[in-house]
Amino acid sequence: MLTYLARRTLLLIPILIGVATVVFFGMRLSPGDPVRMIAGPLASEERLDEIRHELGLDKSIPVQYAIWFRNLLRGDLGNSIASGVPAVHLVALRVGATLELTITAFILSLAIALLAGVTAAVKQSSVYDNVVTFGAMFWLSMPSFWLGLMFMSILAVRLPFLPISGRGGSLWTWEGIRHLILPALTLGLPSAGATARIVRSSVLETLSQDYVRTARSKGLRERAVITRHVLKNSLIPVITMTALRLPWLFGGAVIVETVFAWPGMGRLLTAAVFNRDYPVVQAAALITTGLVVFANYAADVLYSVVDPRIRLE
Amino acid sequence: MFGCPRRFLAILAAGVLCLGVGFGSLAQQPGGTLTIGFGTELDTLDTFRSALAAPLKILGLVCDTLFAFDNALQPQPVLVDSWEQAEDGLRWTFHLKEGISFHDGTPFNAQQLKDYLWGFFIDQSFTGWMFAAIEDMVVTGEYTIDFILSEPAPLLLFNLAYPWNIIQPKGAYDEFGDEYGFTALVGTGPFAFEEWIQGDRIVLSRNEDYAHGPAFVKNTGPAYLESIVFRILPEPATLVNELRSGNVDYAQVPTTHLEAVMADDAITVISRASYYSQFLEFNLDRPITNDWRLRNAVNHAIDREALINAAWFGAATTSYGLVAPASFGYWPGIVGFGKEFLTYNPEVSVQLLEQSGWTLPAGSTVREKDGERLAVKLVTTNSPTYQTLGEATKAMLEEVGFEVELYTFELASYYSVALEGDWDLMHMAWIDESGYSVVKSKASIAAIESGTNDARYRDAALDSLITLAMTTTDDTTRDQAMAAVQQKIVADLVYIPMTVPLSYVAAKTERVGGMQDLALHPWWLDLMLALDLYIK
Repeated sequence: MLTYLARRTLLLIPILIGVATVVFFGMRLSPGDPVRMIAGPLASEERLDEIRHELGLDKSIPVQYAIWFRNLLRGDLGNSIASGVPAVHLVALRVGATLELTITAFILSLAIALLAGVTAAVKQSSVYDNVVTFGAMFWLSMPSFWLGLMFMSILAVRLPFLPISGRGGSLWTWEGIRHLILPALTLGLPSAGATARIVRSSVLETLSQDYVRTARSKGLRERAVITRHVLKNSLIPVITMTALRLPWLFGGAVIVETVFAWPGMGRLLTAAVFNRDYPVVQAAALITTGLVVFANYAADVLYSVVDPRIRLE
Repeated sequence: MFGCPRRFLAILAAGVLCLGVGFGSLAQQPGGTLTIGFGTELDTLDTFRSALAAPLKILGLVCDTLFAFDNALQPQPVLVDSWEQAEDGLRWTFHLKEGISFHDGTPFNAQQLKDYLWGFFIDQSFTGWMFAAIEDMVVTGEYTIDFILSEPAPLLLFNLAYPWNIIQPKGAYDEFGDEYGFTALVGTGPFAFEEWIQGDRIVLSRNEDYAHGPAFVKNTGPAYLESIVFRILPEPATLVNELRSGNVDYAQVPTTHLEAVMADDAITVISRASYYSQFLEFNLDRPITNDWRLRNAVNHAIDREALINAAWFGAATTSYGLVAPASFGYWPGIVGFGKEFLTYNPEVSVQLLEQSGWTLPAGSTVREKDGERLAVKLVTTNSPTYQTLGEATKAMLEEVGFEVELYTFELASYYSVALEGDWDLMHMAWIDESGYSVVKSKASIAAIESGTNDARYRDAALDSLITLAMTTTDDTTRDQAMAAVQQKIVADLVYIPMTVPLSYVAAKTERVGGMQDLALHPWWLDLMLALDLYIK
């Protein structure tokens, strides 16, 4: 297990470098000049050259890459071209809000998916099953942007139960929780729809296994059969699916953060891409990649916890 | 150029129209917080670094300019007490107001001003070119400074009043370094910077010592409001929901949501003409568009009214010149000229194309000349408004026999494409308080190299006229030169004026007072917003 974890941790390094390299060259190959964006249209060539020199953008792209890579090894991701402050600092100021949103959406989606998926499978072909199947398709098909505006319009504007937008402070306060509900639902429900479908089919498959029949024939109560035997054995595809949905959650957060004025990293990343603020884009991409890889890695560990037959070697 | 990227700011003028419920007239009570909905994701508040125009809305409350434009767009002193100009125009002496301090306690005096402007602001700011004639600054007393000029600079006071030319203490830049504009911002204005919660809000608090507001502002200080909070709400629908629900007191209204806001009885909306000039530009380095008759054919093929309705939902007026009506230096005579010259008449367009040799082969919808198809590349940005402008223009040109390839880019790529020159027509805009800055940026030969004259418009006579307008000390000569410049630009059809979008701000009628004072100024000057608005 420890060897496995150490190996996976080491594997993280080339993945991060690979992603950062793709972002580095991708940004520089796309049209757009950050120097002209900050120097303004009437800046002289001398002034443009001066700024390029200050920012190291007068060097060739391979040289810029070499310098960037050397600094990366030292843990220096550079300063934002627009604001001048370290890019990592900018990302650090925003990553907490994004994590708060995505983790809440993740937990919410998982809880809804498990509850709805298991019940639908157990009550297969019932009205409830049909409602869950339809509901899952509905939420899965809804664009986050539209869904967010509908939630806002109904639950915050027409029936003013919840705040329209913004972050209400710490998550551990009532205001903090109230502000989080709509963005987390908007981000979590499409994911819940996707996961509920997997849970349902996985539970259905497990229900037909011999050991479930054996458990029932032993006289175990249905609730015990489901929780002890069915649920645990149905979780492997659910964990895989959930881990695969994580990058989607981070991507979806960009839209949800914009709609609900949530001060997260997604908005920072979008603005940085538009302004060609290379160091901020690179830092945000690195941190997002790290989080996604880490989550997948946690999913691998979970496999062995859920099913001891799976050994991490 | 385009809306948000800064530097492309400028003036507006025109009448102010009050819509919705009338303004209240309750007495001003000091205190209260004004919450402003702010639609832009800011990068920095450091004027030297920001790629956006939006920070000016905050800078205009925190920092002063030496002069400010009054309601008639004439420069009036703010930080200056009096001034005189030598007979030859080569030395200006400014006597600064005494007893003013920056928010960090640094006294504002002649030495501070010189330390900031000389060798720093003039060298590094994007508007430094406005002070190119200054060859030295001499501090002659604690509150007296001389600007020594190499040539007369008749627009000096206008340039000192230009909203981007704010005064900050150089020492604050030295002290905070890269953090300046991020965790610190220092000025002498009516509000002091308190904090910027990234992605969420910017908080300003009243400068209790402020008492140097210019005479044309009703309240010369301190401000009535105790604090101003800018809530950052990048999604227009969210901003409008917050406004209508009363969580935001004041906001610029996105055109897409104007109808809903105006229908709300609890909200007062005011509109003004803008210093936003939107036009169709030709690349003169391309053989097809280098032909004046062809450009005129394009001119007559475009229905500007249709563009206004489709792209701006009616919230714009027809443009007749490159300089918008609210920019200073605007020549009103351009309207008469433009109305004659810039007309929608597809039949004339077809005739002009035929005369140029572009004929329609049998069975084809695309004209040809010597075997070459009349194919042009039209470029615009990917904002919904500009995409609509592009699509409508494409349809109108195809009606008269063009083949139009439409390309839309996000802003940074769009600028690069404009510079690289692989395009024939481009929907572009320029937002600038100064008409002089507009013509210098878009029509001077020097601006071809600096990149703003991306039409590659080379005309030595026009260049001389622009120089004359910017350097003559005689007011009549200057006005005549600016009139000639604006007329020639339209006549040459390098930039076909299209629309002048209107600006709208909305405020909760029950909450916000003083809007009638703000509306007197053609630009809704930020300084007036700071000093005259109050919570009822």
